[in-house]
Amino acid sequence: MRTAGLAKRFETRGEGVQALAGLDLEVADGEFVSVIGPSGCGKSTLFNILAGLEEPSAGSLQLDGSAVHGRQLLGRVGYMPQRDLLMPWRTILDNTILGLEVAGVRRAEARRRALELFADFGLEGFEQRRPGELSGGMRQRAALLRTYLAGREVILLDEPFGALDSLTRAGMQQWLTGVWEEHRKTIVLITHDVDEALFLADRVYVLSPRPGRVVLALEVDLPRPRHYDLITTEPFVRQKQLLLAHLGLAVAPGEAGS
Amino acid sequence: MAARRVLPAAVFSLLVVGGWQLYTVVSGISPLLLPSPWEVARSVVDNAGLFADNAVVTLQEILIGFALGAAAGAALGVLLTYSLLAERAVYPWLVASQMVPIVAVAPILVVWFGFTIVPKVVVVALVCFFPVVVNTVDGLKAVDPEMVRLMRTLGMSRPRVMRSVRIPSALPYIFSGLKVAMALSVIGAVFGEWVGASEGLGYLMLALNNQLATVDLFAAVLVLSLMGIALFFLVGVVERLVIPWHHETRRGGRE
Repeated sequence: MRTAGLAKRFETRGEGVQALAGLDLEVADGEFVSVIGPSGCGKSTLFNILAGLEEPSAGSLQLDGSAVHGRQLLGRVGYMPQRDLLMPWRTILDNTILGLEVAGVRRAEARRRALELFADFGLEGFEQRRPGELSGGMRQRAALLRTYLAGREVILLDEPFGALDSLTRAGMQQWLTGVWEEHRKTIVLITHDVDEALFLADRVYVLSPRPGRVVLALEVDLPRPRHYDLITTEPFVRQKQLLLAHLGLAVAPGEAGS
Repeated sequence: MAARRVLPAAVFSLLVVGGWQLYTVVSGISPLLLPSPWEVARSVVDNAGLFADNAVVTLQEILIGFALGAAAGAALGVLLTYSLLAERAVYPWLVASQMVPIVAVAPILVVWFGFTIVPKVVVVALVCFFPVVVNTVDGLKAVDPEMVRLMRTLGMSRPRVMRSVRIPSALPYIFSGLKVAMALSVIGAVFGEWVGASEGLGYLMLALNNQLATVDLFAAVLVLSLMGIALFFLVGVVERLVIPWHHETRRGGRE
C-alpha cells in the first residue's frame, strides 16, 4: 500500500492559475507524512486531488503500486476536513459508522466495530449523544474515528485541529500521536502549524508559495513514542528551524551563527 | 421556566381583551358593530354544537388539502434539486402559478367539481404547495457542500447523498415551509367555502354576516382562529419530535 504522486499540476478554470507545479510526494505504508506550506500554496488542491475529488491536469498518481486516475481514489482514500462535519441528526455512534454503512456493513456489526474503538478515541460515554452536545476537540475525535473506521488505505487530514484553541490542539496532537503509534495507519496531514507537522510526522514536506512545489522533504529524526514535551528539546528545535528557514521565516541554522 | 415563557403572552392577551371589554362597556357601542369579548365567548358556548359540526368540516378540508399540497411540494422540491433541467423548466411556471390569484381560480374549481369538498381541498393544496416547494429547494441546496464532498469520499452515491444528507439537513427549512403553509391553509379553506359551500366555518361566517348576526360571526372567527393556532402549534410539536437536534442546536446557540 503506497501512494506516489509524481509531478501533479493543476489549473483552475478560466484564469489558468497554476496551483501546483510538479509535485512529488511519497507516502509509504504505515507512514505519517505532514505537508506544510504558506497559505495559498495549493494544499487544498493537493488534498482534493489525493481524495479523488479533483483530477490533476498533469502528472500521475499511484496507489498500492499501480497507477490510478483521480476519480478512482474516491472511496479508497479517507478524508477528514478541517471542520468535523458531523451530521447533527445522528448520534455520535451513528456518525462514526457512516463509512462502514456506505460500504454495506450491517448496522449492528458496524456499531459493534465502532464501539471497540470508542475508548481509544476518548469518546466513551458519548455514544448516544448528538454532535451539538460535544466540545470541539471531541467532535474532531469523532470525525477522525469516522474516517478511521471507513477503513481506507490512506487517511488525509486537512488541518484537523485548525479550529481548536492551542491548548486543546496540543492535547489532540499528543493523543493523535498515541493512537497512530498504536494503529499505524498511513496518514497524510496538511497543516500550517510547524510544531504540529514536525511533532506528528515521520516525514515533512515543505511546499513553496503558489505554484506549489516541494522545497524540502525532511526525514524527521525524533524518537517514538513521542511525548509533547519533545517540542522543547534541542533536536526538535533544530529541525523546526530548518523547516522555518524553508518557509522563508527564519535564517537556516548553518547561516545563523555568524 | 414554563411560567416565564407563557406569562408575557398571557398578560398581554389579558390587556387586549380587557381593553376591548372595557371599551364596549364604556362607549356603549352596539353589539351589531362591535360585540364585547364576553358576548362572543357566550356565543361560542351557546352554539358549541353548531360550531363544532362546521369546524369538523373545515378541519377536514384543511388537513386533506395540507397533506396533499405539502407532499406534492416536498416531492417537487426534491425533484427540482435533483435535476437542473427540471428546475430550469419548471421553476418559472412555479412562480407564475403563484401570480394567478386563487380568487380567480376558485370559482372555476367549483364549476369543475361542484359543491363538494374537492374545490376546497384543491384551494388549500394550492396555497400550501408553494411555500413548501420553495423552502424544500432552499433547504436541499443549503446543505454544506463540504459535507457532500466528504460523503462522496466515503463512497456515497448521489441518491444516497440526497437521502442521507440533503433531506435530513433540509428538514428545518421544510418545517418552516410547513408552518407558513399551515397558516395559509386556514385562509384557503375559508376562501374555498366562500366561493361555494353548504357547510363549514367559512360558509357559516358568510351566512352569519348576511344575517347581521355580528356576535355569532365574531364567535365563528374566534373558533376558526383557535383552530388555526392549534394547527400551527401542532406543526411545531411535530417539528420538535422529528428534528430534535435542530431545537437543541438553536437553544445551544442562544446561551
